[in-house]
Amino acid sequence: MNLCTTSGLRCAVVSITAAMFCLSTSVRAADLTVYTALEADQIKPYKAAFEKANPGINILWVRDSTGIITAKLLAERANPKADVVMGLAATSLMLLQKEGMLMPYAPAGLDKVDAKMRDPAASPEWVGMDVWASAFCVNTVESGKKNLPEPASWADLTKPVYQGQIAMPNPASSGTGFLMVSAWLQMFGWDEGWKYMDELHKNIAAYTHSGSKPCRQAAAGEYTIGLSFEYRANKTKKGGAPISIVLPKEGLGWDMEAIGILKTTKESEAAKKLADWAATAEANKLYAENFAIVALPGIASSMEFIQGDINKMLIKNDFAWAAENRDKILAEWSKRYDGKSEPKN
Amino acid sequence: MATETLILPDRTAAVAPLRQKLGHDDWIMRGAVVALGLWLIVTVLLPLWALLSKSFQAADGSFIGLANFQAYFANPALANSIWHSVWVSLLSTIICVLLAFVYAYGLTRTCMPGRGLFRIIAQIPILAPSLLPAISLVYLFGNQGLVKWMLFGASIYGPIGIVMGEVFWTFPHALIIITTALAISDARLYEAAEALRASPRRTFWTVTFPGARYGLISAVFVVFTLVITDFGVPKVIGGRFNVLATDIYKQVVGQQNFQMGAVVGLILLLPAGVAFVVDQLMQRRQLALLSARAVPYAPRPDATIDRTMLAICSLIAFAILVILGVSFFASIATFWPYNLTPSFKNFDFDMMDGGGWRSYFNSLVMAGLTALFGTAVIFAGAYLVEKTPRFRYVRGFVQFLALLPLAVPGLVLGLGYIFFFNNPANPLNFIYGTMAILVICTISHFYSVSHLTAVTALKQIDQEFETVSASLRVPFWRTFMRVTLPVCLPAVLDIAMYLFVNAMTTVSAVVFIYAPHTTLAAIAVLNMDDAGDVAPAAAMAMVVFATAAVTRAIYMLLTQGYLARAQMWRKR
Amino acid sequence: MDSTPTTVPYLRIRNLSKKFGAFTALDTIDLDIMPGEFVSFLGPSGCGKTTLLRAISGLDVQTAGSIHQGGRDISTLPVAKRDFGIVFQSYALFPNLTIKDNVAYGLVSAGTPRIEIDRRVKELLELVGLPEQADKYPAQLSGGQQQRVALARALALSPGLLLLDEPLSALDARVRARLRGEIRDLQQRLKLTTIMVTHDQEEALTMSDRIVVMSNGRIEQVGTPDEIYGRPATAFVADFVGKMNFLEGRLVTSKRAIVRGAVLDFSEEVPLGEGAAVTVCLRPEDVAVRDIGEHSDNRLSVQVGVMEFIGNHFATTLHASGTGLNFSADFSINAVRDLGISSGATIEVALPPKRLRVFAQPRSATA
Repeated sequence: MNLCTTSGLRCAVVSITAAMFCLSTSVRAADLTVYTALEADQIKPYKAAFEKANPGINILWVRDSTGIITAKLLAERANPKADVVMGLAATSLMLLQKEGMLMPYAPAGLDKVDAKMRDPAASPEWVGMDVWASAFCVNTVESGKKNLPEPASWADLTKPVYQGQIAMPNPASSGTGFLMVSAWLQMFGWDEGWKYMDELHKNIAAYTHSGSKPCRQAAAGEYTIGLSFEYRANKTKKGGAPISIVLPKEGLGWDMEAIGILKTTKESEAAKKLADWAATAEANKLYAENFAIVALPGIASSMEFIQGDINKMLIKNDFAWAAENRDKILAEWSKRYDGKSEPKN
Repeated sequence: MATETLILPDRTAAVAPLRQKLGHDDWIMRGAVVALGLWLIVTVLLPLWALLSKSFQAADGSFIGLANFQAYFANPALANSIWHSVWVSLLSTIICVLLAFVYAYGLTRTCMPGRGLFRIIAQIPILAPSLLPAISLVYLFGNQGLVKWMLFGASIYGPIGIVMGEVFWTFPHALIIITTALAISDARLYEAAEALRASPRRTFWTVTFPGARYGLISAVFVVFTLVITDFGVPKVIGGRFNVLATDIYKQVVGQQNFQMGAVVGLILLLPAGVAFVVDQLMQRRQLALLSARAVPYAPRPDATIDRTMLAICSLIAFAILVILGVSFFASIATFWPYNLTPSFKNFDFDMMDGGGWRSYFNSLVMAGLTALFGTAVIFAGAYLVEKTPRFRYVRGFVQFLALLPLAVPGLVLGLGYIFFFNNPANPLNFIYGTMAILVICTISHFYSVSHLTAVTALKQIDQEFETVSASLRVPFWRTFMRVTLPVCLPAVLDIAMYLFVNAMTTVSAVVFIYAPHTTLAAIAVLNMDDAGDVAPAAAMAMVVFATAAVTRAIYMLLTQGYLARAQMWRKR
Repeated sequence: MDSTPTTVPYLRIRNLSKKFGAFTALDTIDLDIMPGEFVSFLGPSGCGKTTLLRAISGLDVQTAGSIHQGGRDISTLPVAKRDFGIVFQSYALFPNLTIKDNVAYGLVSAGTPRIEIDRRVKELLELVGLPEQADKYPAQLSGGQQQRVALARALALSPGLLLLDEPLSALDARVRARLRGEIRDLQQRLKLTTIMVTHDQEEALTMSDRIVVMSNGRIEQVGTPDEIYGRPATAFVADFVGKMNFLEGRLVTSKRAIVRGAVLDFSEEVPLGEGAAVTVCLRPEDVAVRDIGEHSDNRLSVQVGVMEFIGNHFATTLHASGTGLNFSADFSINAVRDLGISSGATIEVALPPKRLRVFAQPRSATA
């Protein structure tokens, strides 16, 4: 009995100390809560570089896929938790802009930023960082075993030979998925675009939650072809996966990753410093390690396994249209493809 | 005569019945019961209410009646999920309960060797997040699966995978209930059957089966509820086969549609609620079956039966071990399936989604705090509800609140927590995004079972302890600390253990309310799998499993070593 | 008990009623209990005896009416403010505490000095005859020993009132008989006012100064064991306490009735009209069989039915020749041996008029 209470007490003391430790790390004054859809393996160097340049400011990342981060921001709109949104699809930032959640701010060095890659207002509510574009990951071991030709275009993917071989991200949750659907609808037109997806749907084995997953699944041979994006394709191949990377010849769907400050932030000074940093050459050099096109023109990219000039392959992308129609597109997509249940093998 | 009896009630109504003056103990206990009631209102009832009202609102918060429900049923894809959920849950339930019944029969009614080991193996699934079996099934039966041929060309992604994963995950839950039901059967009935020369088959159908009937029905409902509200398995292996639980997740996190999430949540409340009511009724009847004079049944060796049961149970146990083993294997392979050299590469969680190793330590802290505070609140609460004199209506209401979480799926509770606690008008808003809300939510999520465990333990001790201490003018809290708590120590540790393990493995409620600095291990499994980092997901699931298993082992040592010594008085 | 009559009751119960919804568990009970008295509440289950005890202890307060203990109105006081010790059928010993700690439980809380506690515990354990068991746990003692510990614990704070709730029901017959004597002895030594609830008439008859027989929430009779047994006030009491023949008949005069063709005289005058339907009550052991002569009242020639050997006596059924009267009788082994009574024999018996009790029919309507 006595033993029991004392050990319980000791236990309580330990846990309370632990709890206090947790609290104390979350109430430090210069903490900046940053919502991001950047990849988990990208954010470390960004954080390190920024904090080195701005001592005293500590970035707390909230990382998730584009759909979730957007959902979270909208859900919390009455009482936002985020100070800054960084590395989120421009279409999502435009949605937040429409909701009036963003603070107009012109970061230092805004004039150097590519005019196409920012909110056109003098004090923009969001500023682009880089462009990410769709790419296929094709598992060469599996395609060899199954004797599959390598697809070269979006159109190729609808060929019956690929039935059950393709994984693609669900546009509702994945920004990579959404930019593909948006690209098809813009390239082929509304009706033709859906017709294309109807055909493609017959070959799709799985719609994934994340934009990276199809490429990783292709790398593991779970599916032969993963529709993903160039950063993940490059990185996965670098990691030793037996894949080849295909950039479809009709043109690449793409979106911008951008940064914006929440109007409601209590850390606006720190937030502005992050926005400033995001537009520096230093930051852009870091982006360039991951992406072919960055906001500051003329910074060389270093993507080992991506061939060709991505800039020329990007489709003409109407972000305003995409943001405007996001709900409608997703509803239509969900109606057509979400409900069709069992994968047909 | 008639007039007199008619007048009587009037006469008594005129005189108010005497009211006992309240002593110190009464005031304290009543105050504590009310405090507990308020706590449960805030942590269970109001979040549910927030969810309910959200389902009748438009995105801007205006009341739109049933429009959300209309929209839901107008979308064939979503409405289809109901049917999917129902039939997959039914199928999983039937398979799981059948297997569990056979296994339980082997454990309780035969003399097959290794029953102790079989018991331990059967508990493995409880120690792992439900995502683990799903991940293992991908490695076993996926397109690169080790034994893909066993499915004869069918795909594991979809109902087959969901059913297999759910059967694995719910197996121990069904087993516990059925084992209990079989264990309390009365040996005298078997003696009677034997004396009447009933054939074994007839004995089975006339004695064994009816005796376990309520246990089976109870198991059916518990498993059905678990499956229809589980989110981990269909998330990982459901492919394009949508069920209600994944719909909520998609509606809320994928499509930002909280209203629709609330609608799906309410729909999910229905089967869980029905199951809850039926289960309560069944348990009451099961208790009635237990007569004080029952003689426990002791099985006799029978070579044929023992050997057959050993074979079947070995098969089931083997399946459980394989599923666990595959995750372990996958987590230490360098690059599945092309490079199988062992390495710890997949344990480098910090370079992956999900929050890295920090998630794991967060989980430890969260589970520890949940076990500590949860056990304290729940056991003290059960004591107050059971032992506070009179005060019937309040106690009844608090008891209802304590059982309510049993009918609330974790996803629904988590969603309710967002709606309720993330409302800036709520003075409790400050706990949103903290470790505290995870702990509170997890305590609420697992409140009912712990509460029932505590109540059962309290009912088993002498009901007159409180009277005796009151007559000796000893305050109730002294008797609580000196007698009730020590006597109920096994149950208290049981509750702490239950809360800890569930807090380590749960995904469903907390997935909506974790914050960047409070990511959890089980959620990291989900997020890593989502991002395609399947092997690291398996690795994290194994780390969670190992932690739960070690805790469990410590608990067993504690109960057998220290507790045995501290509870000397139990010996005669 | 002291023969000097005490005029001031220690416990005074007035107009006590308890209702559970529409059900009346206690119906306007009036009862006085004298200081140092041992009173048993006797009755079948559901008669209200436990409810009455719970009202006195404050566990379940009455709907109406008052209770005074030692001049203090305790009607609505909480349990802890009352002054009693209680012993339950289940012993309710704290299983995780030693015998010593169990007995000291109330003393420790009352802030009694350590040495004083030790002394008192020793004293109490000696009082109940368990001085050697102080360091054992309850489970290591027998049932009877545990109940004595419970008694010691209840006495620790020297309460003014001892409540015993079916204290012996869980024990086997032999232990029960011994403990009866011990409890009674202890109570008399301490001169402690004691109330015991029991459904066992033998227990009530052997231990009590007075017995309160209850039925349907009412008091049927209050009296000494002798009065209750020998002069039951109602047919219910007659039926409940001891074995009884109920013989239905009709009054001929106020002191004579015809019962199934047999004429029976009784010494008590029955104030009912001639021809009134009555029940004549006769205890089987009151059937006289020795020294029956011409002068014996209510002499009957009877045929002996099947003889049942009960252990210390024979029970049998007698049929009075020439009448429709059958009744049971108990004969001592001596009498059977001496008189050679056997099944089928015809013998002479007498029903002593003093021993016959007569009630108006129907039985349940007596008050």
